[in-house]
Amino acid sequence: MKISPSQASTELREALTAIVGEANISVANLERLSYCRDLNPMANLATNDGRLGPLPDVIVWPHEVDQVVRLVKLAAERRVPLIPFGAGSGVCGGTTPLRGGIILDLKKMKRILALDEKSLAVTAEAGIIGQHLEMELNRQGYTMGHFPSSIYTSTLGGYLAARSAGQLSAKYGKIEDMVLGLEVVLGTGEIMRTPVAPRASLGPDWNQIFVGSEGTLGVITSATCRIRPYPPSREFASFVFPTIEAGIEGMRLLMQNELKPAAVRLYDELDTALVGTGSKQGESSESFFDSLPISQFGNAVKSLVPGLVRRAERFVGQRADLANELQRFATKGCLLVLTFEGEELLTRAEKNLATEICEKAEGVNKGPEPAMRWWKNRYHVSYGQSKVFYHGAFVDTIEMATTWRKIADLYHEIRRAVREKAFIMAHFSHAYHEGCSVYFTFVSAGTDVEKARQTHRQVWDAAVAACHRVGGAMSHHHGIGYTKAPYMHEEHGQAMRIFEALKQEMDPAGILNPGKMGLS
Amino acid sequence: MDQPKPKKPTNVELLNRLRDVLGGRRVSRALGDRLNYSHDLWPRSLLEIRRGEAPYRPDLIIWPETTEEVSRVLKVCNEMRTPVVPFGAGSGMCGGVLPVCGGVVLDTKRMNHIERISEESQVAVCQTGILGIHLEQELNRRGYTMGHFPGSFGISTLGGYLATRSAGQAATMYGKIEDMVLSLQAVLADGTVIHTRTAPRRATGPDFNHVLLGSEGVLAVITRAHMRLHALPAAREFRSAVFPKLDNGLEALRLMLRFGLRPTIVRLSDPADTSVTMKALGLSAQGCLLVMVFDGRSAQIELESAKALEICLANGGRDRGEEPARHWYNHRFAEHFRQSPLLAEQKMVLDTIELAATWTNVKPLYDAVHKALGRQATVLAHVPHAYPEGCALAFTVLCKVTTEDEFKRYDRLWQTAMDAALKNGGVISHAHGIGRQKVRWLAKQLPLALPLLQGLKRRLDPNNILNPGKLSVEVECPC
Amino acid sequence: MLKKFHREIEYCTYCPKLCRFSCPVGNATGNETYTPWGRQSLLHLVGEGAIPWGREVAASVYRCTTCMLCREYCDHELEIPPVMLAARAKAVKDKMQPQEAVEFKGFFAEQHNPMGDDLSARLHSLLPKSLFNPDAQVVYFPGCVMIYNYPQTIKNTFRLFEALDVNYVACYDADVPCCGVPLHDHGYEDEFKANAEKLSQKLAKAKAVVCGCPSCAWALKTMLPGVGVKITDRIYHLTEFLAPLVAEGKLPIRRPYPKRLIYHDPCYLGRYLGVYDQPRNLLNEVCREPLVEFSWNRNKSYCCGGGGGIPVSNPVLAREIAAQRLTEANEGEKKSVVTACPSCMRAFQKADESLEVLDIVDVLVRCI
Repeated sequence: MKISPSQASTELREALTAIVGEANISVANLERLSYCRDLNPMANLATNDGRLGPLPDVIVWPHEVDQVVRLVKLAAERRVPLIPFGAGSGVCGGTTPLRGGIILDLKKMKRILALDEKSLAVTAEAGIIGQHLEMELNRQGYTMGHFPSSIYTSTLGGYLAARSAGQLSAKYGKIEDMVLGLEVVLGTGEIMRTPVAPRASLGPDWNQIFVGSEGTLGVITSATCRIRPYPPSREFASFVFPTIEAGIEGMRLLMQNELKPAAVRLYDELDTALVGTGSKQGESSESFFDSLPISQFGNAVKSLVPGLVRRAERFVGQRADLANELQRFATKGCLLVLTFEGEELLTRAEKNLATEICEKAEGVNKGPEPAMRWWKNRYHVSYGQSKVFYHGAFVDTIEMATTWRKIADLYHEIRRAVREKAFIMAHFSHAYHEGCSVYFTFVSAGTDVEKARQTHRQVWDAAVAACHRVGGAMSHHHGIGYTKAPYMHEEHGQAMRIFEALKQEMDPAGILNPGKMGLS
Repeated sequence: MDQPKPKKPTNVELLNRLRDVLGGRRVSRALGDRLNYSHDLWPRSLLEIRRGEAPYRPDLIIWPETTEEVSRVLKVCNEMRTPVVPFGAGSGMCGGVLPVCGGVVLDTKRMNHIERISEESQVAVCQTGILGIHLEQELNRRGYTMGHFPGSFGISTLGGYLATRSAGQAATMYGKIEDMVLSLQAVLADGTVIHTRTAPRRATGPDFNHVLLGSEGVLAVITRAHMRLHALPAAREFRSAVFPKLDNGLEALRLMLRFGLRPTIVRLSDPADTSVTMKALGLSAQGCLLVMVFDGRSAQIELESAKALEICLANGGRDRGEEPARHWYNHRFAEHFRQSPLLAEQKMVLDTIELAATWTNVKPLYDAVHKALGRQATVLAHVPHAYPEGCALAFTVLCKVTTEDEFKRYDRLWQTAMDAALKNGGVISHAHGIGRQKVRWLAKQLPLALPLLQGLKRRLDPNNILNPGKLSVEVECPC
Repeated sequence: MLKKFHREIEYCTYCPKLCRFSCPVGNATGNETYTPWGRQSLLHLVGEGAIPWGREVAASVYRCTTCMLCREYCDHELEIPPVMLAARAKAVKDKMQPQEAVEFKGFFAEQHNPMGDDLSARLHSLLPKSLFNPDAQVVYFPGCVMIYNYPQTIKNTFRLFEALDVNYVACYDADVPCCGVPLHDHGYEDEFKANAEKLSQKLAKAKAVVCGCPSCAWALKTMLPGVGVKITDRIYHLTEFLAPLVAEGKLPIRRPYPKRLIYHDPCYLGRYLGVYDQPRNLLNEVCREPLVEFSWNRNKSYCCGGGGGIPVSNPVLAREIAAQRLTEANEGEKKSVVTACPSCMRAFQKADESLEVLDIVDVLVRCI
């Protein structure tokens, strides 16, 4: 594999070194390769294929906000792209250095600066890994309540920049609900520090303008976030609904009865079959791909595809239409998983009320076990994909959201739009008063990387078009990066003018994470 | 009042073009209208009115009825470089709608339709000129509530709530206005109609709603909103407690919210507020009165209200039963009637200074502001909203002013309060917004905000026609 | 300027417009000026000498339906309509009144009523001679709008009297003028007084007056004494008169009224005269379906737009107010509106020609 040399001039390197010190800069190819991609599937496919790029020219690791200021000013002066980088777990190419330039890895800025136990607030630098922050909070008797499945491999700054949402968002809120204050270095090198208060009316809420800006408006260097006491009790409940529509209705009733479950997840028939609804039906999958129909519907698949499991996997990817037929075998209904946490007085009451509501809505009570099993395996999904890619197929996820009125439509329309090109299954999570998100996992493959890339693009084109037809958000919590950037104008229409104006104002040199999010 | 300034010739072309769009009836240049749209409820303006002054007068007032009409009139005004002040019901307390550059006041109140209610998603689509109380009444009739009850409930519009980042008494349960809104439609200065798209949540860039929320009319005219509804609660419980000291009450509130209780309303008075405000409402109590309202299913709220009371008792509170809370609840909007007699008869000035801080900062903040203001005026304070992280603090200040020194004294009150807030970890506005009044201190609290906003404004409204002179220290008028 | 109302004007000026959401004119126009606060603020500024007392300010005080709903939301219990009416009177004295008012006054003078027609003659052609008695002690006073627009209701009223065995109520047999409210509404106090005196001469023999129209009842009961003219203490609105009789079971009800009705409290009957229960009791006696209530009802009833001279000075506004009131009546299955005031009926019908609007009398008659 040929690696194009770093474009960073000696002079630039020296200037950067003067800011961060020699130990905190690299132009080594090895590192340039490590920072050229995040976890977006196309980058993974390319890795598999040995074709990587584009590469950054230089990586720097600042330790202090002052260094970040100087780095930003330097980049602005020289018009060199600067890409803020957390832990690279994004799935949309948000940190891909499309135009080369400087990767600003924030992971050395990882201190917890303050813990205000009385006010339930923690201040930490942006580069801290989610799990580290959570562990430290747990040790002190608190939780942030933010549990994305990437928690081991993602940073606080990344959560904020990409508008992350964790598995327990129904109770603790999404990242935008947790942020109390931010320190941000704008593209001009100016530092904005928003005042920390439970709430304010000081013009537009700048915190909310930076949350979701994916590094295009400023570099988030530290944040103050809400925390909660570590929950003294946890309750689990599971229900099986006869149809997906009935399950959705159950979720709607839960939320509209003002309940605050921690996790709310509803699996469609196929997903349910894979997760399992009974306590004895096999411990849930270690890996996502282990749980694909090959293992659960072994005979059915084997009769379709003789031979090795590996080939079966390939087959599933390439003959998605057939795989989708497997849905017919999955007749177990749709599983709803609920967890509640907090003070026992409240969680027990909430669980009882939830049970009453679900049973009234045709839900069959399956007891706590399925929910407990989900809880135990809740981060495992992320591990599965290695195996898929290893076999030359690819897996990607589509997470969309809309109101209750449209959510079933969205589910069916996306399935219809994608089914011929990929094997697709879904669950519904992140429930709200007025709607919820639907999370599709699709698996497909191409005879070569280029074909796979085409298929991948076709799936996304079809899915986003269907989403816009029904009326919904094309991303619930994964963000935009560059892979969804082409759809941004369709998603927002004229409202993009606001984003463009913010960009021009905060990053007049256009150096911050260029080429992303549909910004010109 | 000074000799009226020589009247600027009304721009006949502007008048005619606006009449082309709206017809004659919905464009006014009547003197009476121009005076009544010359101010909001900023007490400083009321002092001016008391003297018979109205320093800022719009040239025209218009009443569009649709987004399309708003778009067309903004195009006209943009072409003619005419200031446009979006106006709801004028209940703001910071001079946010003062037409400091004259021009056109765009009154939204004829855009007052509830266009659609989705029962399934519990979402209402409303034009923004609807009064809060009308919206709520209509929703109640259909079994819903929006849960937004600012003190100005009867005298303010949805658009006003959105543009100023309003918060209501039930914010602890139903959230603040930013938590209720799903999407907005707004018109930019050049007439472009933008929509933020409705979804329960999205990760497709910054939340553009938040650029418009709190923008106080300087970036766009908000014309329509998708708002979240809730089913009317099945039951309601009232609880009251009295604490010997404010500290005890604050601690009890903090622990309740930390525990995870979700009262609909909590309102904690300091001793002065307890003896004055609550007395005025017909309640006698000493110490610090806490009133609490719980809404929801009866089993749930019985549980929660009992726990809340238990926390109160454990923190030095004494149970005062249901009655004070119920009484306050039934008379809560009556507080506002006190203003007129005070201004009219006793030549007093009355204002509310509302701040917010985290629990760690709130008591020092209270002490500092209270002490500083107490030298100049009678000060009553209460906690109108509480959150797990902290609370808001509302200071009601009252002082007698003579005609000669009234503005000086008024301005000094604010200077004192704002200085103390900035020094003691408070934010200078919890829910009232900035307007003309607090812009100087916003510049201190969040120095980059104003230049950034004005920069954003230059790009979205290059002719600076939308509410010029707001969210900006300098008043620069178009032309 | 209006010293008598100093408190009202000052209080309103400094109030955060707490009643504004209830003002029908404010709600229909969306104009700050046409709220109690706006109109009163202008009067304050006039009082301060800040602005001249001129036609513009005068025009604003004519934009009030006198519905009095604002009082229900005022903790100070301020009454704005009297201030507005006093300001109108001043406007007339200072010749600042709107042109419509001037024209109206001329029109009224022609026949001593707001209809510009010989209403006495109309009434005579409507009813048999036997129902007229110049010496009657109990006089039925239908009201100008009733005679002009709802002759059938008058006939129905006498059918009811007959069914109730009430034979002592008669129409006056004289050239009786209007109660004068429309003159007063337009600011013509002197003319109102002259009219009142004329009216009292014609009704000199009445011991009791039963009015078909609530504002007539209010005028005879309160406004006339206010200008030193008294007819009798016993002034009733028809529903007050009928309710006890029907409650005693004197009305022979043959068939219940089958359709769903929604009842509108007329402002003058409700907030002015305090009559809320009698109309409902009457309707509940005869209706099969439960009476539907507007969400704004009883003392919080919303105006029909027909008062305060608004239909004359601003017919479009009057229709808008009526349309706002009718929203609930037209929701879902369209309901017929029943009320007890001919002005309300006329206001509603002008706003919605397809709507069935009934007087309580019309409903009762259909059941006997």
